[in-house]
Amino acid sequence: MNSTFIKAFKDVLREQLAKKNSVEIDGFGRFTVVHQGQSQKKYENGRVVILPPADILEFKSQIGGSDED
Amino acid sequence: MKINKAQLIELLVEKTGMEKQEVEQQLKELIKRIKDAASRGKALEIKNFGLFYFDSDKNLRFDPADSFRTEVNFKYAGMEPVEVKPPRKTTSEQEDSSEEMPIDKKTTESEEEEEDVFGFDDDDIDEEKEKKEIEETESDEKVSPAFKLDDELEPEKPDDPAKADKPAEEDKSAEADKPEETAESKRAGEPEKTDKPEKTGIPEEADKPEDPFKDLLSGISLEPSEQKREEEEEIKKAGTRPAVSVSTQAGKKGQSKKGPGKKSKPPQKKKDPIMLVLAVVLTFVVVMAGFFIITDMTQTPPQEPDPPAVTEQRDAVVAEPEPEPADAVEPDTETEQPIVEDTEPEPEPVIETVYGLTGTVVNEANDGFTIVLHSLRNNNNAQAAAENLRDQGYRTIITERTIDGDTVYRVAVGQFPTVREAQDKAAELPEPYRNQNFIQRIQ
Repeated sequence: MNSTFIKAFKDVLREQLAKKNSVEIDGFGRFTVVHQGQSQKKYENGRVVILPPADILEFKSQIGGSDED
Repeated sequence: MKINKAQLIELLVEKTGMEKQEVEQQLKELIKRIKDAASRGKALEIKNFGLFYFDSDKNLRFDPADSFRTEVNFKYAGMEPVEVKPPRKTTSEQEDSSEEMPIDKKTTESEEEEEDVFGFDDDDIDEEKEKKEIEETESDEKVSPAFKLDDELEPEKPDDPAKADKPAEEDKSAEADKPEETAESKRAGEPEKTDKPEKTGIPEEADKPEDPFKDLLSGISLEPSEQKREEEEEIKKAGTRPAVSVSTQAGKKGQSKKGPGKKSKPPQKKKDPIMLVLAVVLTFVVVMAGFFIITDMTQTPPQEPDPPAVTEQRDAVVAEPEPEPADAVEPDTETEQPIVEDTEPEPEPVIETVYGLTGTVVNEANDGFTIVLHSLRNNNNAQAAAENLRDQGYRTIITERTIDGDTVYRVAVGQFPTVREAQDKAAELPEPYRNQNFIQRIQ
């Protein structure tokens, strides 16, 4: 495996995902960015914390488990 | 927007300059390797990208590296949970603390530790004092436990000097004094029986059941209680002949008095081993306490260098996670050594010196973040703006980006390992820039 390919692969994915694009690779999986709004979290002990919004990277696999093809 | 495999390959071709087929081949190989490694129960790590592994349900999972995560979450990077309502005091705070920011936690912990260090000494001394107090109180009360214990004791050796220790001497002398007085009073012809009940009454006031030194003391206090007993018995026996018992007692007292009188000095040298150990420990603690106080007083300057060290550590903590985030990722599966070599080795150890807002651009720091101050369509304008900023002492970088088909020249200052640091510095910029900037990756 070529190291320049790996570097390019990383760079492309980073670029695309930073732009909030999802990247789908057939037979492998899909990288998506999911936005999570600001939310409040209440603890049992009465503590209330506001969690900041976040863009979270998710990977949905197309291989393994029930998705196996 | 969605990028499918074909588009991805196109992008890769563009990026690498390789043939399309080759790229496809490489991509296949990469996916195969990820699958292989994962199916063998190992995780495959792509440095600065993330970690692929199978979870317990045999689903392929991907854990993005921290830097990748931050990049994706760039808009909200640095935002942290805000506590609106503190926890109720009655409940445990353990779960909360786990949610807190790690840096703060560390500092508080270290503070606590420091407190503990000093508190420990204090406690020690206190304990020592307490022990001492206990000792003293016990020595005052020694008369009584012996009274209870004297059944076990051999009556033959009332004056055993080996067992006699310091408190015992006190007791002896105290006890011995009393008997003597009674003896004298007896000699004076006064009725003894009134005295005796008083003496037997003494144990009551002092009958503390929990005396850890009972066994030790039993030997010591044996003799007075024995004497008392003997006295009592004799008195009972003597009945109508108090004079005789008095005389015998007086004789005994005389003996016993002489005995302890002479022997009281040698036993002092011998002392009880426990007392000796206690005394040694006590003096040691006092000396140590004195030493600490003296060093504290004399070494007030050396104490000050400590906090900087702590802050340095903190800085290091803040600075480190970004450049080498891949290491921090720990999946439950075994991590295979990164198969995929990283072509851009990062200069982790020299972060502090490499990154910065001012000075000249360091190429090794181009993997970090920068503060964009101008975004211009005209390269000349950008160069002029950059020149202006450079004159003000900033590290100035011009990056070229394509936005919606147009090329823009972004004039940015500083090189930072993390978004957070860049944001911190951006907040310190002079006014026109402070509110008009954004952070971007240098490359």
